[in-house]
Amino acid sequence: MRSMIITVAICLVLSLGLGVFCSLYTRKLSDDYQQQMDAITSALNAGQWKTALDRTRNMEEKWENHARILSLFTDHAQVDAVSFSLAQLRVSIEEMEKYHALLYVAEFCESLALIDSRDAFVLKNIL
Amino acid sequence: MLTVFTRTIILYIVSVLAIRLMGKRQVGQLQPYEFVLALMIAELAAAPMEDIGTPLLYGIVPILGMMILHGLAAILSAKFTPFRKLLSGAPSVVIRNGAIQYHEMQRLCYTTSDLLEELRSQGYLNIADVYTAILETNGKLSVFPRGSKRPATTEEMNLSIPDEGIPMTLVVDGKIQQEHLKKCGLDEAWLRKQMHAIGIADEKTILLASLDTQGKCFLQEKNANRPPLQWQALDAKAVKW
Repeated sequence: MRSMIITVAICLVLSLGLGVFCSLYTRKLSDDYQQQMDAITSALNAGQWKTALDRTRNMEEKWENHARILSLFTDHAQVDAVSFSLAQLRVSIEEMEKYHALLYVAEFCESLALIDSRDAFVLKNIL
Repeated sequence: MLTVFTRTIILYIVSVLAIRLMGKRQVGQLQPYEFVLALMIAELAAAPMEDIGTPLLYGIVPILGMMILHGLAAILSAKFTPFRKLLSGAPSVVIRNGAIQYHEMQRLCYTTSDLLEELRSQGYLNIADVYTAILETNGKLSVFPRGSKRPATTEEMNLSIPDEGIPMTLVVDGKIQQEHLKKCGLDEAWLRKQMHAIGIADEKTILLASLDTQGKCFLQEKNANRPPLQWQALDAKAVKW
């Protein structure tokens, strides 16, 4: 009986801890990248292509590490979608195609927000 | 492909651990909620095994959740009888004092054919030989024959037969079981003396050697040409476990 109680307690702590960690992690990631994307959007609107490109490349490097961790608890297809939109954004900025770049910024933000919302502990997801 | 293989190993280990941590009852006869659990664990483990796009945690966390639910159900069942009745139901007497309880069987949707089938599988060809039969919560039928139809006990025959305890295995697959020797209050020197007496020099040639609570030793060698041996190795009064 005692060992059963201990097992249940450990599993409960592990499950809840993991759930809280994943939720906080995706939320923080989403907020951080949103801010960076806002900076890139400002640079694009101001015609500062080099600044936008540097920031995008910087984001790609950071995203590589975050994607590895996200893949542990998020559907890989969703993580890949974010990676694709980031790559497309970089290419658009290199080609100086403003409207395509802004489109991919929106796509990136939306994909990341989707990861966060899919992981959220809400009734919509439970049902 | 190696990824799929590795995920299979990980999920298999997690599933086995989960089933083992749920206790021996899981391995034996299952209650309905335990049966559902076993099925669900198999399903949960299988999905991320073959789809590498699905994180491994999508299989492990639900299994953890199942373990929590099972643990809670087991604890509550042990503490509260009404909860146990709710979860597992209660045993039902289907034959009482030699008479089939028809209304009880109707309530359980248990047909006469089911009853006869179960009785036959337990060696009772004639239902008239059965005095009591209880349908347990795991679906197993416990059958108790009439007094005149069951084997006589030694007490009824006025025979005094000593109780038999658990025999201790002393050598298994060529390895001496030191812990069991200690429990018997014996040592390796005693064992080697016994082996020497029957012409065995090396314990590695022994498949199995065990000592029962009457002091009788059973020994079989790995060599299939030699038959098993039995001898009185210890006085019954000297048995200490």
